[in-house]
Parts: sequence; C-alpha cells; structure tokens
Amino acid sequence: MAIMYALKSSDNEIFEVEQKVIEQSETIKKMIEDGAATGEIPLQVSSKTLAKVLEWCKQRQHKTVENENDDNKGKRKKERDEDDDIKEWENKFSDELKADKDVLFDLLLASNYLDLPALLSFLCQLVADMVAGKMPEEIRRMFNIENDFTPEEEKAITAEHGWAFQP
Amino acid sequence: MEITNCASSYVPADIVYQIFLKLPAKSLLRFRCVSKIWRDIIDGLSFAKKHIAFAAEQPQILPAAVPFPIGAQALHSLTYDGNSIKESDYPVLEFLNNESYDLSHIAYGLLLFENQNCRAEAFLYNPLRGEVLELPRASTPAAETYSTDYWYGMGFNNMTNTYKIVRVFPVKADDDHMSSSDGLLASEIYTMGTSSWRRISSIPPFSLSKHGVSVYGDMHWSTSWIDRIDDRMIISFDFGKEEFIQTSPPDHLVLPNYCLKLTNLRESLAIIDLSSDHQFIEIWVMKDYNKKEWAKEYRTNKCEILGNSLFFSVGAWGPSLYLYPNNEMNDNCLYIHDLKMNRLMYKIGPWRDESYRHRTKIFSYTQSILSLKNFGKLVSAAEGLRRFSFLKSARFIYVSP
Repeated sequence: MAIMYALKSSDNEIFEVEQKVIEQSETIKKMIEDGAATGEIPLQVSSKTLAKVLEWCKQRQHKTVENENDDNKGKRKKERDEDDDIKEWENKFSDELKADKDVLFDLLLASNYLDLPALLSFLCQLVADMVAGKMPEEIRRMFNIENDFTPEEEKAITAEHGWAFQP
Repeated sequence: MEITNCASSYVPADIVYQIFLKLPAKSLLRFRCVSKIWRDIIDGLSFAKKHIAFAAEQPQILPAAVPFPIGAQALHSLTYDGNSIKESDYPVLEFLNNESYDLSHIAYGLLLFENQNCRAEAFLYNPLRGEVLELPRASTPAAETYSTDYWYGMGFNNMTNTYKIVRVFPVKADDDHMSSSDGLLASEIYTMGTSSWRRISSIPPFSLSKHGVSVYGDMHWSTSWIDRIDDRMIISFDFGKEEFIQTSPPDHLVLPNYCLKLTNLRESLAIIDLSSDHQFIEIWVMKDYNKKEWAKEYRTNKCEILGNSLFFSVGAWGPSLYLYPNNEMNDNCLYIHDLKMNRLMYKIGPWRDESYRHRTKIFSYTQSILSLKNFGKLVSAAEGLRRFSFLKSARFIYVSP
C-alpha cells in the first residue's frame, strides 16, 4: 500500500499524492524527512499550478518505475518507443503551457520553490525557445519589466550590437 | 503570436539566469537592452563562463593563414551541423593592410593576436562582441628578448574565477633565468583585469609546438620536433599552481612527434593519432584529468585519399574532425570526418588563394558572450584601425538597427 500525502494549495484545495511521486520535490522530501509533514502539507502554490506540477511528477514517476521493471531483453526497442511516448507527452505539455503564459510563469516559480530541477530545466528551455527571436520591448511586456534606461542610454546600448537586432 | 501581459508574474533573477543559459548569444546581445539588471547579468564574468559550457553555440572553425599574408584580409568562419557546411555571412574579422599581427591562440571565444615584429605586443578580440582589448606590454624590456618565437596560452582558474594568459619567450644568456636544452626561456603570466605581466620561475622542460590547446582551464602543448623527434610528450601549464608539468600520453602509444595532434574534443583533451604507417585514425581521449587516464574512443579507417598524408592541421570541430593534409595528393582541400557517422563526409576548398598553401592553420572557435570590458578599457574602432590595421567584423560597421 503506497504511502499517501495530502498537499494543500494556496487556495485551500487538497491533493492526495503518493509519497514516491511527491518526493521528487526536494523541498517536500526534506519536509517529510524532518517530520514537518504531518497531516496536510501547505504549499504556496495555486491549485491550478499544483495540478500541473503533479501531472509532471506522475509522468516522471511512471517512467522511472517502468525502467526498473524492465529486463534487458527487448529493452532497447522499448526504450525507443518510450522515448517517442515521452516526447509526445512533453510536446502536449509544452503546447498547453505556451497557450497560457500565466500558468507557465507560475509553474516556473513553483518548480523553483519546490526544487524540481528537471521541471525547472525543461521550463527554462521552453521559455528560451519562446523568447529567443523576440525584441526587447516584447520581452519587457512578457516578463513585466520596467525599462530603466533613458532613451539616450537605450540608443547607445542598442547600437553596440546592432547586428543582433537583424532577423 | 500576440504576447499578453503576465501581470501576475515576476520572474526572479536566478530563474532569469537559468533561462539565459539556454539562449543563443545573439538573443542575449539583444536582451541586454531590456533592463539594467538583465544587462549586468549578461555582461557578467561568471555568466559568460557558464554560458559557453552549455554549448548552445555552434562550433566553428576559422581557416587562417599563419603568418597572415600582407595586405587586406577578411576571415570567414565555417560551421558544420552534421548535414552541411556553412560559411559565416560576415567575416569574423578583417585586417586592412595587415603587416604585423598574427592569430596566435583561440580560447573562451577570444582570439589572441601577437605582433610578429614585436611579439610581446598582443591584443584580444571577441568577434561576437566586436571588442578589442590590448594586453599590457612586457615586464621584460624589449632589448632583452629576441623577437622570434613566443608561445601564448589562455586558461581559467575555477577557484578564483579568473582568466589568465601565459607566455613563454626566449631571453638572452645574461638574463638570470633558467635555460632549456636549446636556449634560454622565460615565462610570464597575465591575470586578466590586472595591469601588468608577472614573471614566474617555471619554464617548459622541452620546446613547445607553436599552437597549444586550452582544456580543463589549463594549456596543453605537444613538444616541438626541434627537441627530440623520438619522444612524444605533452607539456601542460597548470594555471592554478602556475607551473609547467608533463602530462603522460597513454601507455604504449608510440608516435613520432609530428603525428601527435592535440585537440579539445568536447571539452576533453584528445590525441589524434595519424601515424602514416597506420591505416587508421585513432583518437585517445583523457577521461580523468586529475588521474591522467586515457581511453581510446575512436578507431576509424583512414580514407584512401588521405593515404599516407602528413597533416598540416588537424583538430576537433565540435563532435567532428577537420583534417588538412599537406602532401602531393592533397588538392589543397580541407576534409571533414564525422565521428558520429564514422566516415569522411566533406571536402572544402580548394582555397581560392594559392598563397594559403602550406600555411593555413585551422583554429576551432566557439563564440562567447564574454565581454572584454570586464578586464579593462577597450580599444576603439578608430584606434584599432590606426594601431593594428584592424577592422573587426563587417557586421559591426555596415549593420545598424
């Protein structure tokens, strides 16, 4: 019987999760080890974002368990098929996030807060691919950053690497 | 795609940093304009070192005549993505009537040029940024040195997070420094960001071949054929201890010196064995730098066309090899051996300019975001042109946003 934990989102929704799934988060693993995790574990993550986090963790957990149960025979072919499956799943996961940038950014913060390095790295790559071709003004809007250069300063800094602004 | 304002989101600097590591340099140069915080992260020393390690940039090679022919020069780099070879749209650098400056070493995305007429004069160039930084003059007065061979190498010390340059040069007999088998040598170190070179007591135990390799933050040279043709050795410079040491090649690897080609293969020191009596190209890769453990990683048939060639220039081009043979059969072309496909893939050239013949040195180069402003006041474009006949890359001159 798997040990279950109850996670409580910042908007008070409860998620029942297997220990193995949620232990991927170093933050929660530490809470469990320290004995701080009795009853509900309160997290500063919204229910919408937490659902996404768990979706990721379950997929990763699923993958690890299957690999452990494999014997060597036929493993290579199986791994190839699995790689395709994972790619497909990741593409779907990415597409949903690209469509809703608020969730994407919240998930980015949550993966950092929960210490999920694989998810953080995956999301950073996703954001990097999304922004690579964009102009500074678009970036400021997307990241909600104030332009603290004077117009003269901005003109000068743009001129330093003018070629980088070409398509 | 329309970007909506993510009002709920504030992305902290450490996550921004992680995203930056995965971006190409061109995007980063553009994003310097977003805000002062972003500019400072992108221009910072520690970021540049991490970014180049992420290998988001395509490995390039730079075929350069050494010494440069007199007259105007425009050097283009080449990239190979496993399918095709592409020449850079803009030259990586241009010289106008260059009479003096030679490309001596490339590491960490920086090109080091030395003045052939006064080899103690050198400057660094980052082609991606278009930045030129002149190195301090010699600590040793010019009269004491012969203006012949200088050996330059670049390194990085992880403990102190500093870039350093080492150089070795001959000195006159009355100098109080140690002698090697074929004359007197002295060494000095320049820690980038400081104002002068500093003499060190360690000198190489054998003559070095001209061009070394930067790997693991240290420098590695094969010994020169001048010393002892039967001995093949690797001389490394440890930038932490600031001393020259011998690095043992793999056991039982017997190579005449001219066949021992060192290269940086995916951030490991590698020996490319091209001994002409072998039918194979073999590559030894250092698996553990601390323990000096080597493993034979590749053994591949030498293509007939390369037969018994001697090679003028051989090295790694990302995960592939470039081979530049130097013999009668050679049509003055450069060959690409793809290690993944395990076969000879491409032939480039012949070079249009016959004067390149026998003198083309191929440099591996990966561009870096590293800003030379971290180390001192840059040489302006006008000053660079006046003093070094140096034009940077055309893209800095003709392209405006």
